[in-house]
Amino acid sequence: MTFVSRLILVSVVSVTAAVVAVAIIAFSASDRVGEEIERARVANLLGTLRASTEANLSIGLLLDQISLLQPRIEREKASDPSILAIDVFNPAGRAIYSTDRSVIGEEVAQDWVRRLGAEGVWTAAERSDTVFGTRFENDLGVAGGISVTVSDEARSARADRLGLDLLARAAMLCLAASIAATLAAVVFAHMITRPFDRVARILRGEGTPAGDDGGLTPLAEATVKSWHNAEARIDRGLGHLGALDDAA
Amino acid sequence: MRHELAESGRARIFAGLFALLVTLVFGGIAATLLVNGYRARVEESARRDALVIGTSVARTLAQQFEKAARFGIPLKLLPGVEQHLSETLTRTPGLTQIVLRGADGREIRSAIGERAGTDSVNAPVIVDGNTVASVEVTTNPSALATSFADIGLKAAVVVTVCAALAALAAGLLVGGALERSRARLGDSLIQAVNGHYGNRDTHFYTGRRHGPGGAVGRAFRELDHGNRRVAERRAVFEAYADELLAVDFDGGLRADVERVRREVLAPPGPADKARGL
Repeated sequence: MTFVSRLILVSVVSVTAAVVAVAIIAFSASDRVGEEIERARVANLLGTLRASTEANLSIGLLLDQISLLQPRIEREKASDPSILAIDVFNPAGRAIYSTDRSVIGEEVAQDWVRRLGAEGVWTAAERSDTVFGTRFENDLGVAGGISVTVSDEARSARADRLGLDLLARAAMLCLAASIAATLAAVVFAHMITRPFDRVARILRGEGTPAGDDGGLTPLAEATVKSWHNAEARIDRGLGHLGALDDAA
Repeated sequence: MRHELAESGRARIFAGLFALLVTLVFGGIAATLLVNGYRARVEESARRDALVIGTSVARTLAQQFEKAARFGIPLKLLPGVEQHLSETLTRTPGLTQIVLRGADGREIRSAIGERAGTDSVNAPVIVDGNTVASVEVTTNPSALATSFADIGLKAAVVVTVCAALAALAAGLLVGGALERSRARLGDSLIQAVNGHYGNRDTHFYTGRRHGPGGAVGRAFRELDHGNRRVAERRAVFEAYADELLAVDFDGGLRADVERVRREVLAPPGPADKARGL
């Protein structure tokens, strides 16, 4: 591989690697934005359900006595197609209300129960869904939890759309940066190989170009003189041989 | 030769510096354009999502105020409204303000966040077909795009790391190759200066190794061409000398021919070298 080719290869690979790495970071950031949007969308629903549940608990009702919760969560699910399920469960992990009525009375995931210890909204990934949850409290402390299972389809579609956009931008910028780097490499190669160019011109007999910036130039001049001397000796030798030939 | 030795390592340093600067400049510009353009695209997308969230919150609040208004409770006197609005604002990322306005548009109750809003949506509070108030929710997508906050720093670190690796690779692979070529050309020139031109059958340089268009390749080709020319002329001289000796049946010419041959083929003497160098 020639010197220029190597220089172009290193330059193009380095700028391309930089752009690709930044693109990966940007995509990762936009993926987190998608998660944040999903969380914001569900946070309000979780907050109103929590407030409503705690208000009912504060007037002395038990969790299984808040019968309005069942139609409420079914209404919420019906109004948002991306919501797959809403479950309200007690601290023991048993579902008291659920949009999937077949799971009422069943155990919810143990992971959800463990997360009741944390304040605020928690998130758990489950296959192609994401579960957002929060706890609610009564006067005695944690009284249970609410979970909203959301389909990742919208988030995936959003990620695909943005990913394609990012890919197009990154490809264009890689191309532009690579072209610029290639041009710069050619100019740099021309500058750094000038001593070789001078040597070539001296050896070709085009005189001594100005700008002796390397030890190769005097060597090239000496080489040319050495050739001339050798050829002069050969000419003289041929003359002597001719004379000897004539004499014989 | 000392000058030559002093230059050892310079090509490595220059090649490394070149790769470092090229990656920092072009990679940095491309990374900046990429991050800025993509962040704007993501924020535009997040803006629409924030508006959807804001609309949903405004509608929910409007429905809650409708219930109170149906009972005939003036919204100005409704207790705990500020706290409720404030809690809603806090738990919903992307919202910056929630304002309850009367039918005349005046602010009745509000919760104001720290950030400035960029977009706002309204949901009317309707009782018996009359609009008695409205809920205005202001959104700001940057609250949803906080993960882009430090992306500039991360991009700068990545570009710098790539530039450092490129400098290392260029120094070793590119600068090293150039210095090896330089050393080889220097040795070949010294050989030629000392009268070692090779023989005409050993000149096979085609320029493939250095590329036909490169200055390095041109220098080697010119050296090869000159050496071959001298070697060919020497071969002609040798052939003439051999021819004379072949017909010199009595050996009378041998001593003279050998003397001439020694003179012609002798390496350059100190005088020649002094002239040459």
